[in-house]
Formats: sequence, structure tokens, C-alpha cells
Amino acid sequence: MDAATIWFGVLQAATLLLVLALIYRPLGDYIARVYTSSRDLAVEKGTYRLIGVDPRAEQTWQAYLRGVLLFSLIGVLLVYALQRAQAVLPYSLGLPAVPEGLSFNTAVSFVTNTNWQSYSPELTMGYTVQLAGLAVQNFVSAAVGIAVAVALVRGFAARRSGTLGNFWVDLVRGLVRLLLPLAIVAAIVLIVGGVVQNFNGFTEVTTVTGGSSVLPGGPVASQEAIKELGTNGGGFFNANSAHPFENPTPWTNFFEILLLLAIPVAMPRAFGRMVGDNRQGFAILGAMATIAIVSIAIGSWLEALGQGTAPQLAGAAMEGKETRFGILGSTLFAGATTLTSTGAVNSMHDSYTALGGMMPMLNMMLGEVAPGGVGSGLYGMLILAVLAVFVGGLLVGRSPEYLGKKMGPREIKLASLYILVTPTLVLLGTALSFGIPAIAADVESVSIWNPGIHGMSEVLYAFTSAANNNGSAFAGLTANTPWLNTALGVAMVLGRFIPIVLVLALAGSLAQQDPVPSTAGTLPTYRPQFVGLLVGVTVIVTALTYFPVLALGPLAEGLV
Amino acid sequence: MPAAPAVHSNRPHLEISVLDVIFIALTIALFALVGLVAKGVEKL
Repeated sequence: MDAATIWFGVLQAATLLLVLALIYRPLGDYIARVYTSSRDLAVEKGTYRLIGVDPRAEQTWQAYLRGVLLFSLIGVLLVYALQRAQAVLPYSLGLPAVPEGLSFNTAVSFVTNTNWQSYSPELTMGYTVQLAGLAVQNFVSAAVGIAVAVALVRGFAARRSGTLGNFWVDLVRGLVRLLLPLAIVAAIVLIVGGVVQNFNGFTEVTTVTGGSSVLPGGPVASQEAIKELGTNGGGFFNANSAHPFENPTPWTNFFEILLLLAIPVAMPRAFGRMVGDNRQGFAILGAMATIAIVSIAIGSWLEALGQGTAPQLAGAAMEGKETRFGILGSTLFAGATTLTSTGAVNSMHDSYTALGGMMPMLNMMLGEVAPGGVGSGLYGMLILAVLAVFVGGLLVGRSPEYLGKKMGPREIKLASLYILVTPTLVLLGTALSFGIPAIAADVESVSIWNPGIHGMSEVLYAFTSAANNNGSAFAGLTANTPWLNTALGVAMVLGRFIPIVLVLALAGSLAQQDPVPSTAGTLPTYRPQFVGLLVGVTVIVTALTYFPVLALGPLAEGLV
Repeated sequence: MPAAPAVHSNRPHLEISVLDVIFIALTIALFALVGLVAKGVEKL
């Protein structure tokens, strides 16, 4: 890779950091205002009347959770029904009903903000399902994630109230005041950048050589905007953000990366504002940024090295990457999409070098906390902060406190269970795929395209992506099979909602406490030492959990 | 007298299969399981 290319890549990353730094404060302050304002907009009041909600009614964590689960269950059933009824729906492009297993997988996938796609969208989903089913879930699943994070923040900020706000109010406000306005502006920018937005279906055209080709159309820009902004990631086309109609130019590529990072990066500021200490938010952001910068730098360096026979012979590891974006435009996107819970791709991660391909997987294994998904990134990092405070307390022999709240046995049990859920699902799903002979035979003969170590990595990646609600695929894996559709669907549901149970339970527990004043013995959680401790806890927890399985997959492939 | 030939419509139509029932039941069961976990968490 020549010096000019490297400098361009560095400049691109530095510009991204600069823009994110500029929006951190205003967007974070705005998010805090959205969720703390005592006024309701007219459209919000109408919605509350329609659904029979008293916006002033405060909820306990159990009531808040019931709202999350009920709303999400109805979402899954609706998206499932839409897909199964596709053949009789208008604007379905003549496509048949989506098969049952795939309908289940896709419905769960979009409701859990995962957006894993076991299908080729342009050949499977008509416009009605894309818009009324999938695009709607892109908005509401993101709003649910932010609502849960806000509930946890309220738990830290509360003074013996025992309540966390109102889920329905948080949901509606997130949609009306945050996601919809930003998505509309982003969609217009994307249209200006060349992303298509029409209802043309398929258009047959004659190529310059006299052949014929079919060009797909569709309401792409409107879905692309929320796909990134809500850290969803499900592509309108199979090639996702590598498709020129979804992501035409290097600057739309930059804009899409910015969109998917914007809200997760601003959430720590909103957290700081809501707990009344902006330094706390900045410390959380510091830990997120440290992990993200190091991870993206390592991933880019590994891909630029181009380890392996084929990349060395070709001169660069460009297989599966768009020449429009190059290696560094691809690795920046890959890092951003897996450090958040987005899962959109502008290159095929399966084609990365062995160790370079491990980095997106490792980003997800970190729990997607740097900066993570909209909402889920913040609550994931706050759970790790609780653990870091506990470890810090053990080191100095003090009773652990965070933001004036005592971290007692119940709080630590909840945080510990949280960090165990996802690895359990990932490792169990991968193990079952190879451990049960009938399933293993199906996975090895139908699903895996690259036998051997790399094939194992493909399955590991799929369960890592599903359980962490990321949704990116390693590619090279046929996932539209009964086993993978069902098992990945189960991993997505449990990987999304069991952590939410634990987060809301923790929030409820914290909300019942009165904050204690800080003393000389209180661990300051806004200083660089705490940021270092938090990064250390995050990395060590991940390393201990996943190192053995990584040694069987990408590490083995890259080091042999 | 030969039976009248069955009339088949080419219009797309809705069909509910056994697999539909299974996947809907699985979905409800998964959410119920999450609810049970929440009940267990209350006792921690």
C-alpha cells in the first residue's frame, strides 16, 4: 500500500473523529432533553390517547419490561404475518410468500435490532414487507434500545423513587423527536449522493456492449438512513452497503459510517447530563473511543499487511472489497459496523485475511460497547463500569459505589449474569452446530462453503453476530436452513431480551437507593485511571471468554 | 357421469401451514421464557 493511500485512510479516520467530536455535545444534550422534557408534543399526546397510555404514569422496572416485551412480541408476530402474506400484498413485485423458517428468522432479526439476513432481499422481499415490516422495525427496535438505556440512566439518577419513567413515552419520544427527523434529513443527503429512491421495481436495460441487464429499484435511501442511524444494518440489497445503489461513492461511505456512529457516540453525553455530571459521560466515551481506535487501527493494519498466499500474489487483500472504498475505507466501515450493533457491510468480511477477519468478530465479542448499538452500547458499557467499580473496590478494599449508588450483591449478580448471557449463546450455538451429528452433517455439507478451520469461523461468526444482535455475516455461509434459521433466531431473541431483563432489574434496584455522598475513599469514576480500568475489564472479560474458541478458528488459520 | 374438473385459481392466496403454528408457538414460548427469567431475577 503506497503512502498516499495510507495518508488518505488516516485523514478519513481523523475527519470522522473530528466530526463525531463536534456532534457529541449538541446531539447528546438534545437526546437528554428529549427524555427529560416535561412537555408532550401534540402528535405524542394523540398517540398516547390512541394507545391508552397515561404519559405521567411512572413505571417500575417490571412494568417497563412488560412494555418492552409486549411491544416486541407483537412486532415479531406482525412482521412474520406480513412476510407470510406477501403474495397477496400490493407492491410485492410478484414475489411469493416468504417460507416459514425464514419468516421467523427475519421477523426476530429486525425486531431485535439484529437485521441478520438469511436471504437475498431483492429476490425475497417486496416493497410492502420492506417498508411496512422491516423499515418500521428499523425505527422502533432502535427506539426500544435507547429507551432501555435511558431507563438504566434514570436508575442511576433516581433518589429512592423506585421507578424508571414510562416505556411508551420513551418509545414515542425516541421515534418522534430523534429518529424520524434525523432519518429524514439523512435520507435526503443520501439521495443527493446518488442512493436510489423510487418504486420502479426491476428495469431491463441494454448495456453498452448490446447485452441486457436488470436494474433493481426501490425506496432504498429512506431505508438506508435508518439502517445506519438506528444501528440496524439490514440491506435493501444483498450486497448491502457494497451495492452502488445503497452506497455509491466514497463520501456516501463516510456519511454512512458517521450515521451509524452518531447516536451511540452521543449517548454517553446524554448519560452525563441526566446524572448531572458530564465528566462521567466523558469517561464512558473515553473508554469506548480507546477500544474503537485501537481495534480499527489493528484491523486496518492486518488487512493492509495482506497476509496469505492469494493477497501476496495479488499485491493486496482486495478480494471482497470495493475498489471505490479500498482497503482502509472497508476496514473503517467493518470496524464501525461491528463495534456498534449495526451489521451493515461494505465489504465481505469472509474474504478478509484470517487475522483481519478476526477483528470484526472480536469487536462483536467485546459486547458491542465501543460505542455499541443505539442504547445497547451505553447500557452494555455501564454494566462493565459496574464491574470495573467492583474490581476497583476489591483492589483497595472499599465498598464499591458508582455515581453514589452502592454496588451490593444484587447489583453485582445482575451485572455478572449480563456478561455471561451472550457468550453462553454464542458458544452453545456454535458447539451444537458441530456437536450433534445430524446437525453437523447438515452444517458441513449445506451451510459451510469453506471447509476446515475457516468454516468453523463462519459458524462462530454467525452465532456471535446473532447473539450480539449485530447482524453482519461473514458471508460464505448458507444460513437459510432449518437449523440455522431457528437456532440463530433463538440466539437473537435471548441475546436481546435476557440482557434487557437484567439491565432493567439493575435499574430498578438502583432507583430504590438514595445516593450516598462521595468521600475521600470513593473511587473517582471520571478520571483517566478509571477509563483504563474500564478498558482493561472489558478486554480481559472478553479475552478470557472467547480466547479458546478464537484459537480454534481465526487464530489457528492466521498463525499456521 | 364424470365428476366436474376442479377449478384451480392462479390468484395468490393465503395459506397457513403446520410450520406457521410451530414458529408462532416458538416465538411466544421464547418471550414467555424471557418473562420467566425476569420472575427469577426478581428473587435474586
